[in-house]
Amino acid sequence: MFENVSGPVLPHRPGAPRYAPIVSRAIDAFAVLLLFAAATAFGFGVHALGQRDDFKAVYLLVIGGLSLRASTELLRPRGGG
Amino acid sequence: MSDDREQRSSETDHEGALAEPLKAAPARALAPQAEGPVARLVAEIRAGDSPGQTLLATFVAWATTVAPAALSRSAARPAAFVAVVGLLAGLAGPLFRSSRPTLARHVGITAFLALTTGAWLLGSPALAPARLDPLRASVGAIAWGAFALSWRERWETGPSKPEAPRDPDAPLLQARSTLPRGAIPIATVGILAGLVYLVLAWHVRDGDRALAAQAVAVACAVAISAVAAMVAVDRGKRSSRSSRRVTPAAGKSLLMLVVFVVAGVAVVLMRR
Repeated sequence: MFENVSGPVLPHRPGAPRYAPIVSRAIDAFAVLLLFAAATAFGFGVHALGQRDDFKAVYLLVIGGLSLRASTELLRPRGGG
Repeated sequence: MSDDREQRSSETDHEGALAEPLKAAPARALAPQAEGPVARLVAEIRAGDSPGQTLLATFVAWATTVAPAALSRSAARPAAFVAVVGLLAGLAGPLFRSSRPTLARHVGITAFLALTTGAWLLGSPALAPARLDPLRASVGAIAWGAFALSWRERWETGPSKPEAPRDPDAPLLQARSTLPRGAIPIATVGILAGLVYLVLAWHVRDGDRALAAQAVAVACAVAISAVAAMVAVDRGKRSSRSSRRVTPAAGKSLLMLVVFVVAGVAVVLMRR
């Protein structure tokens, strides 16, 4: 009645590293931390733009962008499952 | 046997009830065309397709944004004439909307906007930024939005489909998954952070810098809101084949972040 359209479920590859759930939770927490860091960096960056501190503004905006990117890559890696 | 008859009669009644709106819809569409202009207008008002919305929006937009510029003392005399002709065009267009829609759009939108632009150009001295009233400008912006919406193409709504009968024995549908813990606070923080950026950008006084700050704030607000929503939902998702792990791409992003942070700290220390 039900067709398995996604193919057979593969067993865990022997030799591939197994990560404990606690590591996954730690990665989740780190991704949230990076998100908050990015939010803070963006806020101070926009504020620095208003204070005519262009170097600081650009630096904080770049840091915020990289933090966001890292947070995204940790939770939703490209090409990963 | 009597049950069969009752069932048939109820089916016939049901079909009749379904067919009634189908018959009524074309009749409603044709009725306004068969009568005079006044009767047509009354029929349109009764049917909810009243041009009154368009007329009101046109007049408010003209009164708040065109009239003060074209009828002021500093404006040239032709400006008032062009503005009044534009108002007449804007008010005349909606009246032909149901009978001659193409003509109505040419008069009510194209001619009205062209004449309004002409009035603004002729009365440009009155449009100096120093003389603009923020409250009137806000009302005018809303009125022009209402004008655009009032000229929208109305959708023809067909007869509503009957609801499928419910199966009393069917189990309640359950959600396939639930949000991870803390999803709502994380998404809320992201949205609030985006709003804070927009507020901070309004505090930038310098003209050129303010424009850049607005653009940067909007980009940051969009980015933080989108990523916060993604982080809020994707936490706790586990792949069917393996647990979550740090991929090479994620490692590269983290390495770049660390390099920039260290470089920033080094620059700060060197400046001291």
